[in-house]
Amino acid sequence: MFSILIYTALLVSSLGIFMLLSKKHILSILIGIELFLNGINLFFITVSKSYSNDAADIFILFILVITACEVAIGLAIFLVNQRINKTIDINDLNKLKDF
Amino acid sequence: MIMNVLTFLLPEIILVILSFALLANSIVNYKRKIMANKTMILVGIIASGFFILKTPEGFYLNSTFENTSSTKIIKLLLIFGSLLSLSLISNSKTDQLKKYLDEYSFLLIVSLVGGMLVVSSREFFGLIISVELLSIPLYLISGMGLDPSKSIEAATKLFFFGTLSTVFLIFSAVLFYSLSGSTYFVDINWALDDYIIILASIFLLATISFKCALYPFHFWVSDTYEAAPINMLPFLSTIPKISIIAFLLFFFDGLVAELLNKKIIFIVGFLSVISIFFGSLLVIKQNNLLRLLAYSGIPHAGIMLIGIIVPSSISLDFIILYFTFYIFANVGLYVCLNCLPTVIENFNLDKLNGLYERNPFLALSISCFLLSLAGAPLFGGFWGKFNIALISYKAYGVFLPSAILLSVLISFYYYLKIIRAIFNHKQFNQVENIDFSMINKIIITICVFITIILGINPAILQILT
Repeated sequence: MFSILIYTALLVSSLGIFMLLSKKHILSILIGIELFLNGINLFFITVSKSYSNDAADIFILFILVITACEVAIGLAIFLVNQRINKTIDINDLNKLKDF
Repeated sequence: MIMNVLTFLLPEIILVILSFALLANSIVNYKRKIMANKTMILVGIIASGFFILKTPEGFYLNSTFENTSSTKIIKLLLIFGSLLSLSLISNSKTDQLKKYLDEYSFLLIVSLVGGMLVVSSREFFGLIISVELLSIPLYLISGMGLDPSKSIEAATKLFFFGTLSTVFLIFSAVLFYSLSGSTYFVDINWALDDYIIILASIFLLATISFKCALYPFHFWVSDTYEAAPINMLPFLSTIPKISIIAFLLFFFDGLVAELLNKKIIFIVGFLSVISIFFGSLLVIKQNNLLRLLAYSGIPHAGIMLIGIIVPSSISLDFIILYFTFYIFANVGLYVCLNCLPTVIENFNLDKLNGLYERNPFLALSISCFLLSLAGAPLFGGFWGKFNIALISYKAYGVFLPSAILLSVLISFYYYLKIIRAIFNHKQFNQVENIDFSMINKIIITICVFITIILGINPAILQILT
């Protein structure tokens, strides 16, 4: 059971990383980051089973709340970006360059 | 019990109350609104700085946070730096900044509270929440620049990299937890010969590199500096960087003092050397002033990182000296740049041509700050860089000091390039007047004074302790 949970956590995290790197749509990248984070959360719960303390339960609640706040701010930024730049493709964000 | 915690947290609580008072001030509309804003910021921040001196030392909130004499000094520096940058904001000239003055101040003060908590956090819970508190307002602020399409692009980039770095931080916390079964920093067993502890340290250092713009993760810094409102740059360039590096100083305390794990120390040293080297190379090619200054922060962060891994009781004092000169030189420099006429398109170096004949005081102050950042003798920067090179030579031999020396050589090239443009005999090619109000003069004079005093006698910093 322990190893199944660890492998599931790794699978979810790597799916998130794959999505983060391959997608071009802004929201898909955000979902990729969230998936990565939730894989880490699952890993955390699994690890905390082997220690007999319940730090992980509280920790994960905090992490979820923090990410919710962060996503709210991110969506606000994307909305303004869509209104001003008229794009949701990450490749079109190329106004600022070194040269 | 609650009163006990209150005495420890009083400076932060005052700042939180101040930020909400500013938010309330933004709702109502009356004649002397800007005046009320300035007064509140001044009184609140000075009161908070006063109570930092009065707070007792020790652990609080279940040992999650700790106050020591050195965290007090770093917090005082952070507060003083933000006071100078906030008084710059309340004196801004663009209409957009005047309209949203209270919101800007609210966000910056919340970010300052996050920075102060990062410095004293001793546990991963507290650390993650404080880092978020420090960085989330900065995403919003960087999207409020003069050119909306550029600044919202910069905010989007900063948001993605910031969120990703938070995920890395959480992952490293989980890995450290999986080794010791505890989220406190003191329970980490550094002497463990295991690859997981190295992996956890690498993820932590990745987060640090994102937040301080160290070399492999530096790409957001130039875009954000170019597009963010120039009034925010004194804050953006100093407070996050210094609070995160000060946190790392206390985090690696147990590891470095007895050289428990040589591999991790090697990784930190490697990170700082490549930041110094590639950061210096990146600056050489730049012609845009703001991008140049943004990239020039990378070698500085690298040098601060070298100061962290030196196992010496005196290294703390030297790093605090480095922080002091870095804060005052940067704040003064950006205040000077803010006095110049507004530039929305590329802020190239030739926009500074002939500044000396137009306004000698401004030109001399800018040169003073730039020479201090480069590390010329008689300015604070010299002692900062010299001391860190000296202690790193005593601990690890000749390699690290030669990297610092190389960065100083290259930095003289690019900082003197700016000074050459200032003292050029060409006509100052902008018709607008230089906005040189009283409060800007006061801030610049304070910063020049401190930079030169630190250069003449760096031991003066001991007054703080």
